[in-house]
Amino acid sequence: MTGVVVFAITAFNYVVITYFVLLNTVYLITSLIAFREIRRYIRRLKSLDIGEFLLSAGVPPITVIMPAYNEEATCVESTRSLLTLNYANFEIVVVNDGSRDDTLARLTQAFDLVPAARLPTADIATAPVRRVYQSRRFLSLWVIDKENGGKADALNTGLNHCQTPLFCAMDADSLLERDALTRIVRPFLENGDTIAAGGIIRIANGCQVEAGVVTDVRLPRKLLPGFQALEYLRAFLAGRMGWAAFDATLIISGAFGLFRRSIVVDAGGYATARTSGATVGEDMELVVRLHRHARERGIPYRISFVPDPVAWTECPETLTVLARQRDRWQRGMAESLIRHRTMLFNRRYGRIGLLAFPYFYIFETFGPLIEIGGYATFVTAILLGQASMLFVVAFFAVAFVFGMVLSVAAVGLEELGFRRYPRLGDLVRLFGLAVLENLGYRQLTSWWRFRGLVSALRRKTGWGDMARRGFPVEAARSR
Amino acid sequence: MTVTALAAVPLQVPSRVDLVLRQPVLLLLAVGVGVLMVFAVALGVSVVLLRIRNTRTARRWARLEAKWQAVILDGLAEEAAPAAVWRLVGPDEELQFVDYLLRYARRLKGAEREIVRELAQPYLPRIAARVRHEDADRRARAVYTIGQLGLPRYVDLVTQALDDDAPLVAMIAALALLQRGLIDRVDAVLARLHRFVNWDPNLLASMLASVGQGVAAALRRALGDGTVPSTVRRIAATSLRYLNDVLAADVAAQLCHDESDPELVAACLRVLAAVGRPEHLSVVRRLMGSENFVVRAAAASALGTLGGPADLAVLRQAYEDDSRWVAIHAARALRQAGEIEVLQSLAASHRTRGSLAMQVLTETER
Repeated sequence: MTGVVVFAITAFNYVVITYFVLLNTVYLITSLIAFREIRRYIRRLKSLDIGEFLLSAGVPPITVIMPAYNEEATCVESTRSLLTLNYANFEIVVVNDGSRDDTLARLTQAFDLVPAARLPTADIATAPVRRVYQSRRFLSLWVIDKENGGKADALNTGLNHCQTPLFCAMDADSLLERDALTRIVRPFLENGDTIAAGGIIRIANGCQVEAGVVTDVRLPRKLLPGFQALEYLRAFLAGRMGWAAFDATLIISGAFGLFRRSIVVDAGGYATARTSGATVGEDMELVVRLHRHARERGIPYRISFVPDPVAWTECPETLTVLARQRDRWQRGMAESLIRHRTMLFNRRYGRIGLLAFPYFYIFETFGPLIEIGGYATFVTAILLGQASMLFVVAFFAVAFVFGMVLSVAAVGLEELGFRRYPRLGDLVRLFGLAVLENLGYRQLTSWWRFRGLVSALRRKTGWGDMARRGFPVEAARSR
Repeated sequence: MTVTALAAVPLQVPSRVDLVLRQPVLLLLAVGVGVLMVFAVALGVSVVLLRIRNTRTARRWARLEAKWQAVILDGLAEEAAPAAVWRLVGPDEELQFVDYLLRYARRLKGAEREIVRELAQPYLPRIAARVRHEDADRRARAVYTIGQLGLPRYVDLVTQALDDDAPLVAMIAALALLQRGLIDRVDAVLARLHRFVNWDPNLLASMLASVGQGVAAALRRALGDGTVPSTVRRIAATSLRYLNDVLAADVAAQLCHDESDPELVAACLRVLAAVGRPEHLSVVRRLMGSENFVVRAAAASALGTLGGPADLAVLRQAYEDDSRWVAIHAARALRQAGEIEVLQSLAASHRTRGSLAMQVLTETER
């Protein structure tokens, strides 16, 4: 019996090592491709000033849709930030999703809102709209007050009231940089087949924010937000940039994405209980459904990632809130992939079915099972005396050192292309975080993702509370 | 302790599985650790070196800018001769100087921009040579620079770039020729417009319109030419609308008789909405009955500007159209026709679309 157990543990350890090797090799490949793509993108920026185009009459109008639920701490600053966007033709629709706090009152007071009329242009089913408001001070600012239905429902409400060919979906706790729309619209201008584009999300914790604008970029001082800042760099600059190069983007962050309204409406809008079934990962589900919708109907399309339009967001600073967030992300991903499982290994869906789906299924969705199992059996093997020094070293190499290399590479991509952390101290700290995150933080996130996966399989619903502190204006100033 | 030594010293007594599997595989992985460590450190060092290089480059730029700024401003004020500026440009600073001038060129117009162009002239042959570089990104950058600073001197070179294998290079060349208002090259651009059909058509139209009225004749020819691809004709129609080209109305009205390309018809109706005349009303009225909602919406807009009291009933009917887009255009057409009372009545009485009339009335108040 013991022999069988030992054999099983040892064999599983090899599976885990193979898993880590494959996973990190994929990361390495996407990092290398991202390296090439970022260089190309930077050169392209220098050779074609899109701003010159956008001064002209041809700029496509955009509606920025911002769902807000109990966002009294940040909604005014976020909206103010939107009003300063540097784009010739846009309007803002804030959707108050039945907030129980003073979100609507704050907005009304800050922007002098009055009741107004606005005809819906689509019929996606949503929770009832109570009233539509328009700002008397800023005529391009609209607020739709509706009964609570969740973020996706609020986005659908905004989509129903969108009268422009493009809409930008974002979070109420995010701050868009002034030129974010100018930059993210570029793929739509360069290729008429573009139906969606995602921008990069950066961590605002630790940065100085004035009047809704990030004026001084700093790495968060605390460890937990610091880890997340590094994680976001890796996920966006290496991951999404690399997958976009394969035309296999499966995720556009809900915090910042630009979409072609008509195809999103045709595809049924965001998934809710009233539409195609509720999910907590409405952002990924929409992108997957857009792929499916376009491919099943033979519609030529492109879904892009643009690395320099930035949305700044406040990330969780406590383990409890972070755990909840990661649990929800994992549930959302698992739900989306399981819902569209017919695409897996299906040639009809091209590289989405044959490349992106298998990767996301094996590594991103069910990966935590192997990772957590791997950490557990690794420890067990040591305790049982079945792990040789070489095995320990090998596990350490693929699970920790390889990961560290990839994080350092992500810092390199940031330095190569964007250099948003100008202080040398922040750069050095990023290296430190690249080492430290492997010693606890990654294992924790694997655990939270594992729990999220279990919840998804048990069909648990709900977002969990996300405590908002508001943007760190005073904290940063006092430094 | 070396890797080989490590391999020889297990922590614990190995299992039978380990004995079978581990030595060759794990030894390889152990070597991998060392390689990865070295790689991580090398990568880290590279990033730091990159930061140092970037910082130095930024400092060098700051120095160069400080050196050039005052004398260029004097040059723009015609208080310094070009030779005085050129004396400040070292042999290894020529490309940076051109980059620096590019920034001014983007911001300035008229005589001041011409001064900037003159300042760049001695250094442009180096840039022009890059237009044939094997790397498309470098060619694109070179065409952009030449387009900003080297026209009309290098107009033939830029025109040749319209046929570049890389669509981006061709697009930059087209943009440069159009922005410079080189009317004699418009036909060359129009002839290659099909290369850019992936681009946003409104953007292309506005790019063409930026040349000014001088481009209108060529656009009308393209619009009326049945051998020109439909997408190009739509772009031409949109561009003529941006130009408010009165002469385009007859061509547009003619094209409205054939509905086989609804998007082209809609583009032509928009032209009529902008510059049409009462004699075009009959075709517009007929298209209010089109099966295509895009055509009906454009026709409603045209009716709002061209029509009279006789068309009020049709517009009210369009307000009830199944397509909300047609209804929106009809409501705005009613506003355009000055039928405020009709809109007020609809706002007060319409069961499902009262909010549309209210919305349009609010837009009127803005």
